Amino acid sequence: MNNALEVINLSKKQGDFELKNISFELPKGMILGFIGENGAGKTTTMKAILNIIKKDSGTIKILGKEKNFEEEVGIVLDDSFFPEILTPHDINKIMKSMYKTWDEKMYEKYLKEFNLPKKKEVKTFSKGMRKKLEIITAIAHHPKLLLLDEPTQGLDPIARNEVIKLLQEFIETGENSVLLSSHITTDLEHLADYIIFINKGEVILDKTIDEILDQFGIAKCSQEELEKIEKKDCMKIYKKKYECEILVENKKEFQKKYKGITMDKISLDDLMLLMIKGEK
Amino acid sequence: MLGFIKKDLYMMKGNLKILAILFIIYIGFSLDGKMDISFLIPLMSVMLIMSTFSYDTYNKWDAYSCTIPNGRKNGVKAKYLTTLILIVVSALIISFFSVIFMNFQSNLDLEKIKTFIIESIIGSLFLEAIMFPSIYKFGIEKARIGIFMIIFGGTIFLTILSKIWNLRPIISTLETLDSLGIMLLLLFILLISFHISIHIVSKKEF
Repeated sequence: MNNALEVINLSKKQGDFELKNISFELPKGMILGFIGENGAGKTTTMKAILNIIKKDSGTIKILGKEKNFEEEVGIVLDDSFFPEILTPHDINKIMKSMYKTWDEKMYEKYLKEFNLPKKKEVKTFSKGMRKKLEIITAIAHHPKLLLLDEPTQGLDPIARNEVIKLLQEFIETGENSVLLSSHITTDLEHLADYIIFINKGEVILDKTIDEILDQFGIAKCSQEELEKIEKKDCMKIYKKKYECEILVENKKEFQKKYKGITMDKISLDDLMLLMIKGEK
Repeated sequence: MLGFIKKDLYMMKGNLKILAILFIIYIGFSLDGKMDISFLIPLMSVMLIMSTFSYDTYNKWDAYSCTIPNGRKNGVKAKYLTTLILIVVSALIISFFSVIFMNFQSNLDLEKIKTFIIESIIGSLFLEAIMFPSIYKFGIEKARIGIFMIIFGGTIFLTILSKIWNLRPIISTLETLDSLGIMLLLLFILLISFHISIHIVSKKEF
């Protein structure tokens, strides 16, 4: 079993929205970044993986198992979920009875590291503090897979950096894996090994981060230059007022073929924008 | 499951102070024997457990609980057991105060205390049995209205039914049961209620 997570042809209809045959894999020891605009289906996919909502069809395997995997999975959902009246101290006592592998010392160590008060109610916490508490709780029972939906949302740059460091430590052993959905794509550029891009309930891109950053590029040209470029060489075209941006899948070949056209490095933000707003 | 019970008990701490104040005031007014304190058993247990359902919904705990080992099943088990714990604790507190009241009230004796405590426990168990599946099915807000309608509507329905139909044989059968018999019957109803709740929660999406 080399995959921490396998999603095969996952489909789910919810009102007007539909997940359509979502398939991807997360190899062991890797971090997979799950990106897409709001309403693209990231949270629905996460919830279907975790059986919070029922899938219509498809297969989900977590650490090779289709069920009874909960002990080995750590979760952060997009919304806060700890009852506000509880304190981190209460949560420790509760989780101790819920997970066989709950590590009280580790939990308390991270509470200190993240400056979270043990005896204050969650309702007095800022959004960032709540997220930190959720992440610590997800990690403190030694899961093998972390499923994190927007874990850095609401965190200031320092706290985000702390969380990134924590996740890097988590995968250091090579046995642990992370599925991380985030709007903050700069975090993913530093962290993720793979990127899954979902749009309108469909996976539209599944690549390693190196493939994206090394091979993809943004060609910038005028309208006249665009007319000379073959459509098959353009993944997406985004027309601005004075120039056109072309998303290119193989920037080296493109530059060989079309000399004189400026080629910019791509970021995940650019990729998202061009994939969604661009035309074919 | 123990974790879920702990969670529900910890969540009650905010309401305990208010409940304790109300309890003391009511006990004070009941000293002369004109007010009955036995109804505090269902009131205390129902009020406290309903507040945990509200917290769960408000804080989106239910979705998270599905990701905990055996979360769906253990969450339901814990609610039923926590309520039973609350009923027992409330009954003990009320019994304690009732025995003290015997010193002030000439019309109160141990037999009377036993009868009204058992009646209140029966009422509490019945409420639990009808409340929980409704809460799991419709959510706490709708269920609150639903429970009121069931109790209110049920009373009207039974009144009308008794005018049309002769319910005497059913009532007579029930009257032949002693407190223990009724308790056992209620525990059986609770068991059915529990299985219905488990079925609802296992299919539910959060």
